[in-house]
Amino acid sequence: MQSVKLSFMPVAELTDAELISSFAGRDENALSQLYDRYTRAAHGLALGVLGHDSDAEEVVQDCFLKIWERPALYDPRRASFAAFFMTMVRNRALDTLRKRRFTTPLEDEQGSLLPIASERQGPLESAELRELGRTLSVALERLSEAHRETVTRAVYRGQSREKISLEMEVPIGTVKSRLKYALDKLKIHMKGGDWE
Amino acid sequence: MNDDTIKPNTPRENIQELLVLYVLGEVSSAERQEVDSALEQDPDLGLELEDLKKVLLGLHFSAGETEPLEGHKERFMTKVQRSASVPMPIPSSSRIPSVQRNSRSSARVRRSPLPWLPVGIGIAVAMGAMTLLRTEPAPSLVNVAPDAVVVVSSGDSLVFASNVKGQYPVMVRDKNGKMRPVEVGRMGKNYWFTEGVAEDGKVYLSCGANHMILVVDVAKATVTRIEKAPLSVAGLSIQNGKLWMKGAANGQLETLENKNVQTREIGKATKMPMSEFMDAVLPLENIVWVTHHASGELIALNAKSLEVEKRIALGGAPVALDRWNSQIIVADVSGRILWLNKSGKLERTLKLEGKPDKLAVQGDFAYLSDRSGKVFQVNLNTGTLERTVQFTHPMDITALPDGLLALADGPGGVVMLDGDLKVLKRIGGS
Repeated sequence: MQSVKLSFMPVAELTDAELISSFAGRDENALSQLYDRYTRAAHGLALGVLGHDSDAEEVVQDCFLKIWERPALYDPRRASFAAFFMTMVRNRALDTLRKRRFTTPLEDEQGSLLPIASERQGPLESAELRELGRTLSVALERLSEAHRETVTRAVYRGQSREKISLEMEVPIGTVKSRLKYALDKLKIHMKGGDWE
Repeated sequence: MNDDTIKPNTPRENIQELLVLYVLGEVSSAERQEVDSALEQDPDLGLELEDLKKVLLGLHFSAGETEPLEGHKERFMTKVQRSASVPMPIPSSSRIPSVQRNSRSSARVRRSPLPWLPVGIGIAVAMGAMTLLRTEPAPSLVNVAPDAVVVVSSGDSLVFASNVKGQYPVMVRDKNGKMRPVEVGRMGKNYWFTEGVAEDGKVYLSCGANHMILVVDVAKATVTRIEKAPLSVAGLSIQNGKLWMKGAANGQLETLENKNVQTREIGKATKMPMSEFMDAVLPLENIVWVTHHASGELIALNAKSLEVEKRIALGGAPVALDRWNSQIIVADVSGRILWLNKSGKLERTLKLEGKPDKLAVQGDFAYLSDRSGKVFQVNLNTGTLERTVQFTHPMDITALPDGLLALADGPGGVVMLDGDLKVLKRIGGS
């Protein structure tokens, strides 16, 4: 019993990057832990984009499998795993949304994922991002309906400025200015400010 | 709180607006260069960029956490077990579309140069095609889409096929509108293209006259493989490299994956002319849905074993399938569109005055093409016919990534349409 406890506890405390580093040794326990940490947040994002549970599950599991097969895709020097993985899930979900019938590659022409901002590493950042998500969720509600819809279309639907312009029946310039305005406000809120 | 006031932007405001689109990945290459250049010159802009990236990441988490469907972890670990034989590490230089396809993609590279050539197809045919590929004709000399019958969207490109004699029945139109003919070699008979699907930069075109599937590399505008298809192939689908092919007359469903062929007889063979080579295959999770229009049935098979799990007598002649939210949409060439739930239970039917045989779902609308000249737009939420528009000889219709549609309009060429079926552009035609 003691040996079980001793072997379990250190694994539970491993960072995301440490868990991923053990993928090369095909450590399914590490994969299972990482899956448990992020599957609900990733499913929430994918479901928000796709609106369908089984599609969302497929996207999230595809992304986990991708990292399982190619752990070198994740570079902890460039981003936290939370940031990297959620970006990957959004891209994959948008890919599914745009070409629902077909599967398309996750990578760009160079075989690497889209660039992500350099962020601090560690489990804290994941917690920070979750908190930030809650903060921005509140801030989104404070935007006007037109601004919120523009952001939703751009971020969660991956729509181009042309498509947003067409569907919302406003000039492309207005789409761009609404996006900038809205993201500026969200940025202020993110930093603890108040835009009113 | 209004930013819609019309006033000219300063150059910096322009860059700041572009910066938002840059973070969203919605800039052209020229705009990307413009932003990159501005970022080099303006450190403050770099700080704004980092803030915007953080906002976007926060928005990813703002959707909140949701519990996946019951049994998700077990399903995931099963997938992991299945992928256990994939060799590690995989070279980072190879472009690998998805985990499920890693092993296939890398394995194919190591095979002999023509490992894909089915025994049933003459090597001379394929070699002839490959040799002729080197001499690409001037596109201006080629009549593009003289009789467009199949149109397929692949990334930013369109591929369309015409039932004509000659060397160039297949054309690729890239995102800039440049036309590139695809040399298909001599396939021995006239062409009768019935269906086309796309995956990972490849387009798969079924030819009912020659019982084969042409695999076109869209970026290179070349035929990279020719696969043997069942007789009277009509329904075609591809999922993670696995081809699903339904013969209309022979009643067979065939799959091809890694040179492994599985065949299942799901209906009686029926004599019919090539013009009636219509059917559809729709793989959804563990079930593959197949129409057998000769018997008026929609058949659900286990996607792995190909065992028939359910036969649904829809009547009429179901020939096309697509998915909308959690429902299956069926086009019946006898003049109906049907809504089924994911268990195959019929939930709604709408009669259409025509013979729709191809179907595309775009957003909340279904678009059905009828060879006699009509294209129908049906609101899938309300179950009502929104509009019917007359064209020349609609043979196929497909949804494009930007909410538009492409119609293969027979001698009318390929027609680009908006969601209200307004003609935006006509390409080719005879």
